[in-house]
Parts: sequence; C-alpha cells; structure tokens
Amino acid sequence: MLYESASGRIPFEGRTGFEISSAIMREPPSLLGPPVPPGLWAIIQRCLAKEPAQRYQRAGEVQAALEAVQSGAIVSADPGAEQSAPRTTVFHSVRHAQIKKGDSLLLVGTTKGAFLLRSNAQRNRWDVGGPYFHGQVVYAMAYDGRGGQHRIWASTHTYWGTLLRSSDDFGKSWTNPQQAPIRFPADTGISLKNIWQITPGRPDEPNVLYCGVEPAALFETRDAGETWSLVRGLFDHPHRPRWMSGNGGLALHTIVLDPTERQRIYVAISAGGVYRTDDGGSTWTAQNRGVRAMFMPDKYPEFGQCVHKIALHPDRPERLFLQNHWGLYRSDDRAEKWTDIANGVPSDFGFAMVVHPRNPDCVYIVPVESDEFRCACDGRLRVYRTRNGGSSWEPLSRGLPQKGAYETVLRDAMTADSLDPVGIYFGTRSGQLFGSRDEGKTWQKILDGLPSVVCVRSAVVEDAAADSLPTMMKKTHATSHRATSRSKSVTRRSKR
Amino acid sequence: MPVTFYIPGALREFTAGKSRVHIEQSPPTLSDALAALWALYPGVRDRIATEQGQVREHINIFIGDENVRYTGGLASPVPAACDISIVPAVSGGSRSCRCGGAIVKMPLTA
Repeated sequence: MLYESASGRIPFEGRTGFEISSAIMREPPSLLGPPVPPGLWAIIQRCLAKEPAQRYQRAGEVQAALEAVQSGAIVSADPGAEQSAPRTTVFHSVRHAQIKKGDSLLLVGTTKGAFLLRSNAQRNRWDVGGPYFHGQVVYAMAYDGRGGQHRIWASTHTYWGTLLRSSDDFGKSWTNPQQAPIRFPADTGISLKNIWQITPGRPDEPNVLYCGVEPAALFETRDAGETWSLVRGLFDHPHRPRWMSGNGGLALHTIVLDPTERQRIYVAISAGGVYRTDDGGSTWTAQNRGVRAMFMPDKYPEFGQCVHKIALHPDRPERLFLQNHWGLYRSDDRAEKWTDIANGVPSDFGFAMVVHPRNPDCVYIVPVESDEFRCACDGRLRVYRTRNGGSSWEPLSRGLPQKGAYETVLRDAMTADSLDPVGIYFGTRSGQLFGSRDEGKTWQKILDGLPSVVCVRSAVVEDAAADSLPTMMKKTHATSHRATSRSKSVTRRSKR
Repeated sequence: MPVTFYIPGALREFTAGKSRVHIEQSPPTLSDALAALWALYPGVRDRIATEQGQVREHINIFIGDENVRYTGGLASPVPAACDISIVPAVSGGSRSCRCGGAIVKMPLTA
C-alpha cells in the first residue's frame, strides 16, 4: 500500500495470478517512477523484503522510520554536491515521542545529545524521543509551561560553540539561531564556554529567563530569549577574579529565585560559593558562613567554597539546603548562616540535591565516595532522603543495583515531578536512567545504554489535575496568560 | 581571482547548502576573507569564531594546505585564487568534511 500510494501503481504486476505470485516471490520491487525521497524508498524496500526477518517486525518500527523521513531526520547524500567524490552518508535516526496533554515528560541531557521521554500519569511505561543534537553535549535543559506555552530549552555545546536552543513542538524542530544569543560583551574579553543552567523566571513574567554559564556568570533575558544580557552586578563583583575553577570548570550552575521576595535571587558557583542579591541583581553578597572549604588553608573563608547544588522549597522560602564539595548544609535564614546536616549519610560528598515539591522537610541526595573516586559508596547505588530537614537520612535502594554499581549522579541529573505520589528520576554517568513512582520507596530502571547523563528535568504538559501541582506551578496557571512574543529571526530545523 | 571557501557539512545550513563559497573581492588577509564570508552568510560567524573574534579552539583554517595557526592566524596573507578550508579538529570529530580538495573522513566522536 505504501508502494502504491507513493508510485500510483502496484509493486508486482502480471497477466495471471501465477505470474503475479511468482514475481512477488522472486523479483525485487522495481524502482518507483516519480521521484521519491531516498529514505522513503528504503522503507518501502524493507517492507517488501523477501526474507521475513529482514522486514520491519512491528508496525511501530515503520511508523518511526516514516516519521524520521518526514521530519528530515534521515539525511542522504548532500544535494549541493558538485563532484562525485566519495562522501559519508549520515543516517540520523531521530524518533519523536507523541506527546499529549496531561503527559509526564522527562528531559534528559547527555554528553552526546538530548532525549525526551513521555508517559501518562501512571508513569510505568516511557516512550523515548531523540536523540536530538547528535554528538553534542546538552548540559542544561528546561521546560517552560508559563503563559500557555510548551517550550523546551536546551543548551548545546560542540567545537562550533555553545548555543541556547528551544523547541515549541516537543523536539520536532529546534531553533538554530544565526547568532549565538548568549555572548559576553566585547569589553569583558571573555568567551562563553558552556551553559550550565537554564532557569525560567517568575510565573508572572513568562518572558524572563536566566542562564548560568561558564566562565561563571549570570545572563538574563526579558524578551523570552531573543536578547540576553550579562548581569553586571555579579560580573563586576570584586570577588570574581579570585573565584577558582573546579574539576568541571568555573561555572555558575544553580539559580534559585525567592518565590516571595521578587528582588531576591541566589546563585551557586563552583568554586566561588553562594551569592545572593536582594535588589534584582545590582548588588550581590557572598553567603557562605558555616560552609567548609576542605581544600583551602582557611576552612571557612568568606567565599571560594565549591558548592555543588542548592535547593529551596517555595513554601519555606527562608530555608535552603546545600550539597557541598564535602558537606551537607541547611540554612533557615536566607543563607545568612549554614548548619551541618550530614547526620547518618555514608558520605557528605555528592552533587545532586532535590527537594520534595510538597514537603519542605523532605530532600533527596545521592552521596558519592570521596572527591577522588566520585562513585556510589561501596558500589551500592543508594538515594538518601531526609523527611525532617536533615536531622536524619534514610537510604532508598529497592530496585537499584547494590553490587558493583560504581555510579555517579551529577548535579543536575536528578529531578522530581509534581504528581502525587511524587516521581523521582535520576541519570548516571554510565548512561542509566532510574525512576521511582512512589517517592523513592521503590525504583525501576527506565533506560540504560544512554550516553553519560548530565541533566534530567521533568514536566507535566498542561496538567488538567492542577490540584496536584506545587505552589509555584499553580501560580503559573493562575496568573499568566500573556502570549509570548517571538520573532522569526531564528531558523528552525528538525535535524542537527 | 576569487578565493574559495570550503564549507564543512555542519555549517552548510548557514550557506544555503553550498559546500563552496566564492569571494569575488581579493581579500588581503584571512581576517578580511572571513569578514566577506560572514557578510554573505552571517550564521557561520559564531560557529567559527568566539564572540571575541578568535577562531574557536578546535576549528582549523587552512589556506591551501597550510594551517593558518602557523602562518600568522587571522593576519595570514591570502594569495589570489586560493582555497580556504574550514576544518573541525580531529579532537572534535565531524561528519565528512572537505579539506583542500580532498574528502577527509573524521571519527564521529571523541
């Protein structure tokens, strides 16, 4: 039927039934008359293969192949070729997940591209879309559902530079701006190395976003990403020349907006520490009292701490949790001072830290063994949870590998969704993706064989069950219906 | 005589699919030639150079068969009718790309 609809005739012809059946058994289908995209012709040939094992085994495989051709994801010989010199043909098999309202999404950024997973509210089976941005490092991803949009943001990093990209159709097409939107001004003499964090702004300002970058700096947009500007107040801070590069580079990797104080923003820098502004970014103060810097002669300096992650719960905006390069901390006074809460963890070294969306006393971490080894303690992959603000921690390991699991979960590779019960998800450097649908009690492996996972984010697409959303997301739905303006100055394409 | 840029596959999205771009003027230096290239196709600029105007670390530019890193960088003189190739370094990897008239296959990823 595919052959017939592409060519207008049937694949095998003959004067008698015997001639036709003989042709079906022995002859290859003849090349289609009218021009047919090479990818489509390949699919038709495979459907008509004489050997059953060579055909597609499931209808879904045909669908995926057809979608890949339709999206332009299968690239054949370059049409602009002037000469018949040998060339490589690259088949990028990108599959798109079919996303509906109410779906749960997982955005997974890896060192070789991005993946987009979808499930229904049950979250027991995930369809995988991707890989997008073949071979590119996707360090940061974010979902922005403010103002009725469905925008996915991703940063891509290759030897061709670092770009911020977005998709409004769940990955089928992505912006590929002519000019890199995030760039250091000429007078700084600095060039962008990587984008580590993409943070949507406040719910009632759907055109505001922030990016944390390497070398450590904060960028801000007020027009939904068309133009970005360097936050000078932080860039001109007298401490900046004395910040030191960590193992992963000198990066501003975490941006936390105070949900009640509109002018207050926290950022975390490795290795610079926590900084806070109370005036919308004009002035910043180091907020590291009580946080250890094991690698410094002065163990409690004003700044220079290697903070790996900070987290805040919107219901208790004065309280923050902090996973340090050695050290677990809590502050109950807007980061004025920090208290050690490493009570009963196998190691206070780690990267990822996620707060429960509805319980401000509940935090998830994944301790790793020493800053030299940086793998799950004792080869046992265990998430630790506190439900009392850090007074005690409990291991969560049911369903996770407990033998020879030398896994690392990086700072942005864990996330929580907004459903009830809460789903917790994390990816590892070895390319495994795990999820829990019961707040961490039991875990399932969702995927393995991925490239190194550096970023995991979750979202619910236009959730009908708005009651299950945490405070900040509820506000999004309630207050913001302003359409996002967006010029057409960027090119969109479905393949990279 | 025009100089000819050879554009690698990854950048042809920004050169209307062209793998070769002719610059009709006779640019005296590589810097002038590149300025002429991105006047025609602005999208290639940020892929080749940083926002501070430096050629990116893992991108090599050849005038003829000579890597400009050894001939004065952006100030390298551009002979008439020469070929200029833009080549991602092997440390980065690439799809296929054209170097000075020959196709060089590079490893896909490091």
